[in-house]
Order: sequence, then C-alpha cells, then structure tokens
Amino acid sequence: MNLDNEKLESYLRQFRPRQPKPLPGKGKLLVMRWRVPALAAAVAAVGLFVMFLALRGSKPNRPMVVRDKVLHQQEVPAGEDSPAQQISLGRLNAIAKQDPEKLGAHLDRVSRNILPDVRAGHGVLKTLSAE
Amino acid sequence: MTAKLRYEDVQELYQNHGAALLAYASALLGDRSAAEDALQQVFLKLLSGRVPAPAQARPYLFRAVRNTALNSHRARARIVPLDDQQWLARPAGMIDAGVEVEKAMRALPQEQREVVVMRVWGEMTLEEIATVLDVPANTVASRYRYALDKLREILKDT
Repeated sequence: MNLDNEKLESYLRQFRPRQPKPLPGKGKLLVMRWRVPALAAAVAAVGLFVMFLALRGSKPNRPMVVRDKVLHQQEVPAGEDSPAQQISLGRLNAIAKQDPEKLGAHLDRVSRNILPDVRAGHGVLKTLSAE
Repeated sequence: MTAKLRYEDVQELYQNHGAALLAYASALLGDRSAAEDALQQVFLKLLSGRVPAPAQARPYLFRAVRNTALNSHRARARIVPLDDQQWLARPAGMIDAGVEVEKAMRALPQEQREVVVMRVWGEMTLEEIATVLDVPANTVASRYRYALDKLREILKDT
C-alpha cells in the first residue's frame, strides 16, 4: 500500500460511522423472550375457560331431555303405536280403505294423545279455557 | 467457539463494533432502517444465549451481518439503491466533504464498497475480510486497490 492510500484511508476515517440505536435493555429483552410463550399460555387459558363454560352450560339441559323422553314413553300405553305412527298418512289411508266408518273413531282416539287436553292439569290451555 | 455470551459481553461487542457494522449493513442494503433491522437481528440472536461466543468476534460479526443483510435483501426481492440517508457522521466544518465521501462510496460497486467499509471503518485486516467474504486475500486486496483508486479519482476535485 503506498502513502497515497494511507492518506486516503486517514481522510476517510475522519468520517465515523453513525451509532446504531441502542440494544434493548435486560428487562425489555426478558419481555421479548417470554412474549410468545406468554401469549400462547393466555390463549390456551382462554380456550380452557370457554370450554369449561360450554360444558357447564350444557349440563342442565341433559336431565330435561331425559325426562321428556321418559314422559313421552309413559304416555304411550304398552302394545300401542306411538301417536306419530297412529296418525301417519299410510295408516290413515289403510283404515279409510278397509273400514271408512272407523276412520272418525280412530281420529278421535288418536287426537287424545296428540292434541292438548284442556280439561286436565294446570297448564296455560286450562287457564285460557277457563277464561 | 467457546462459552456462551453474557449480556454484558454482547453490549461490549455492540459498543465496539456496532457503528462499523451498521455502516457495513447500510453499504450492503442501501437503506439505513433495513440496516438497523439486520444489525438488531444479529445482536438479538447473540443476546438470546443460543449462540456460543465466537473465537474471533469481528470477522464473525461482519459475516453474520452480511448473511442477515443478504437474506433480508433476497426477501425484499429487489435491488435497493443506496439512499441519501446519512450513514457517516460528519465532523464540524466537513459537512460538504462528508456528503462527497458518501456520494463517492455510493458510486462504488458493492463488492468494492463492502471491502472499503470493513477495511476503513471496521479496521479489519485483508485476511479477516477474506474470511468474511469467503474469497482469497488477493481478491480482497485487488478489490480494495480498485476501490481506493476510484475514490481518489472521484474525491480529487472536492
């Protein structure tokens, strides 16, 4: 390297490179390091909480469903078809073809199981019928 | 590579080499904010404790900044010309001269510019630069010689 090069190097070195922005402090670094795991833990916690609420909210409905089924089964006497089967189009059609006179009696009997009985119980229909 | 770096070790490296590394990243990327990002990436990795202490800190740091800057350059998928943002501090009374030096540096091809930055502001030997660039020391010497000739030519009128 000749003298000219050394002079030029010295000239260039008078212009120092600018300082970069400071590195993050220890505290900020700790936050940066744990930010992602903390966020993942928070999301998991919220997910578990939502699942817990969903499970808790669904519990009271279960006995009601069971009770409905039980009540529904009790309403149909043993050996008889369910009201839905009794009033099916195929069944009614068959009765009408075999014995049209019995169709009215059949509908009367079936309607007791299907339509609400305004005379029994203390339901809304009973109250309305009383008025 | 030896023991892991402590926070204080990394801070010391940053104090000693940060400015030259930023100048180097700016020379590669042509964008001061992208250069700052590349530099921060390298030092945050060092601060994470996942990187063992390098045996030779300066070449290691320049190489790490180079890799990060070039990856960032590829990710942006375009060539960014050196912008007019100042990356050299200008001493009082030499503001115009500083502008001319930066202009002359921008006129150099990148392979010459990076050698000048490492040699002049990184104060590295030609052998250390050759290690960073993974080229023979003779190649570095010739790039440096051409760069100085060109700089001298540009700056002689100022």
